[in-house]
Amino acid sequence: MYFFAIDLTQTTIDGLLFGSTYALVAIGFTLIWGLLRILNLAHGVTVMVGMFAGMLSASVAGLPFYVGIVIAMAAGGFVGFLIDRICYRPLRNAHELVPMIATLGFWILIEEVFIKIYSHFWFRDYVAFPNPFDGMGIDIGQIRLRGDYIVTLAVAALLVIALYILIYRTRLGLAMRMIAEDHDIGNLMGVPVGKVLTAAFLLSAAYGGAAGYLLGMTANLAGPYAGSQAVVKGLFSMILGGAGSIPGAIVGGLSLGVLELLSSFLFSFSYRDAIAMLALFVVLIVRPQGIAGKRLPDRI
Amino acid sequence: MSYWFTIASLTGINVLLAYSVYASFMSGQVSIGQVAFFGVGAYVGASLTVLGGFDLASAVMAGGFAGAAASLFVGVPTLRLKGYHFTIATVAFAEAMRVVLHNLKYGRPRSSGNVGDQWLGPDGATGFRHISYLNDHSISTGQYAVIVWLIVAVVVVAFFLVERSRIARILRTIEEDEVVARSIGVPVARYKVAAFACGGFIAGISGALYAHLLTFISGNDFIIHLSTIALAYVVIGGGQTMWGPLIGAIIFTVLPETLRPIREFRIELFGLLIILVMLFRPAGMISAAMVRRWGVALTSKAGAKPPRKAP
Repeated sequence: MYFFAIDLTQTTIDGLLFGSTYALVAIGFTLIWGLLRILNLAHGVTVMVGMFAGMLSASVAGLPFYVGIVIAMAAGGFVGFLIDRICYRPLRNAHELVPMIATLGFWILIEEVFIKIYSHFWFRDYVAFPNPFDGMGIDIGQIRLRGDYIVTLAVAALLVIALYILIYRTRLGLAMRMIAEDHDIGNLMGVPVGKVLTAAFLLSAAYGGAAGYLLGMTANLAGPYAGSQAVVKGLFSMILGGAGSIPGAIVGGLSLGVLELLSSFLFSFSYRDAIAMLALFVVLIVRPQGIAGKRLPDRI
Repeated sequence: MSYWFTIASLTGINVLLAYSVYASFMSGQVSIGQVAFFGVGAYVGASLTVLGGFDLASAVMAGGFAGAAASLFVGVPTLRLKGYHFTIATVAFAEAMRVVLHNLKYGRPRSSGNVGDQWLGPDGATGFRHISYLNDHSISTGQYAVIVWLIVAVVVVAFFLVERSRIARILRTIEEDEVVARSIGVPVARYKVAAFACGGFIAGISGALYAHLLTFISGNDFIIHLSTIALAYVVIGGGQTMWGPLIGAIIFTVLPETLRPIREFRIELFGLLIILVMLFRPAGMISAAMVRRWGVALTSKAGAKPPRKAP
């Protein structure tokens, strides 16, 4: 019983720490959802590109961890810029499903091209992602905090604080909040809506890139399908916490991390995803606005 | 030739999948979870012919009813809510379903078969093998294509009739504005659930047909990707009329297969085509205005006057 309690605590803590990567992916989703009400299905591409940019910077160029994260964010941000210019900007007046399907096309196209390029260079499903914090950790009694998880949480926390400063203390953030309320009124008030949305895409994708780096580093692996997996996890974190809200994305990401690890610890590894998804389904029925969502939509 | 018959069957299955999205799309409800009902239909249908010894027709029908039941399970609690919560719940359900299907194991041992291949029925991650109904009853791929397209024809005719009925107007009103629909006495939630259940039924049928065509299915066939592509058929073809899903699914299944020289790049081509169609025809390839124009052209050729617009 004692050891069970220790293991349970350990699993929960690992889940919280690891969940911070999900939270970063979910923040990228939630920014675009909050501003535009479209699901950016191409978000996984930014995660994948960030992961590979980070992998190359760490293993080929031998750059240190903090430079790698910046490179990953820049690479992800570039993809975000492309998504804005190709999938959103030309379609901003169409039905909101149209840009979403365009991002689906972008996702399929880029992922396939990337897989072709990948299999040209590497003949394995995964390549090693150097982890400078491998084997490090802090022991508190019987509980061990893995070094790379602590770094992940620290980076995620830093990025979240930076995001809050950006949103609540700068003019760009003010403009974003305005647009989230109403595009037309924002336009009338002289907010350059197009530019602000480009910035939002860049920001969301940069967070995706950082998440890609951290996901690759903690797993020690980089693979071409990581983007698709991240899409599913990030989407569910966002929904679990409450779509369109940044605290919601954080809560959702952390809870998904805990939920996944706990369900594989308590039940079985193979049903891990099913349990997490069923939990999400229950949350949607009982509390449709998500754990930290603001208001209930009108009932008909 | 049998290759082309297989493509024809696959096209028909994709058309059905597109219509299953379209059924609830008409009422403005966007589902990205049709793959769950497709998967349920596939597993139920295959189980009945392989383990239960049923014939194909009843297995396909049972697959449809199983799909409808699963869609009621999702639809009843979530369709009372407005907007995107429904969409998101469908995604969650589909992903949970995929994992459940991926881990299912039931059935009985096979009398013959190599080592490690002696199980009849779904066997966890190895999937559900030996769905050999077509082979056992010597149904050729050509005959199967005819069966699939007969079912497609029934569904298309059904949608054609619904589109001209009061039901379609009610669904379109719900799509336009739920509050207005409610205020003129439309039981909004009931219509939305019924439309979604019809979609689940069609997806289930389509799944059962798919299982018998491929003879091998596994939980990982039913990833979210497939539902987003089913939605893409509708949006690309055009969600305003019933012709959109038909055209979208046919073109986007056949075109990548026919372009043999660039076969290696057909998935890239698929992605690129999606982007291009969305950029140049945001209303989809077939818009409502287009159908109206053609309808007028056809009737005026036959000697009738074009319908006058009300002042």
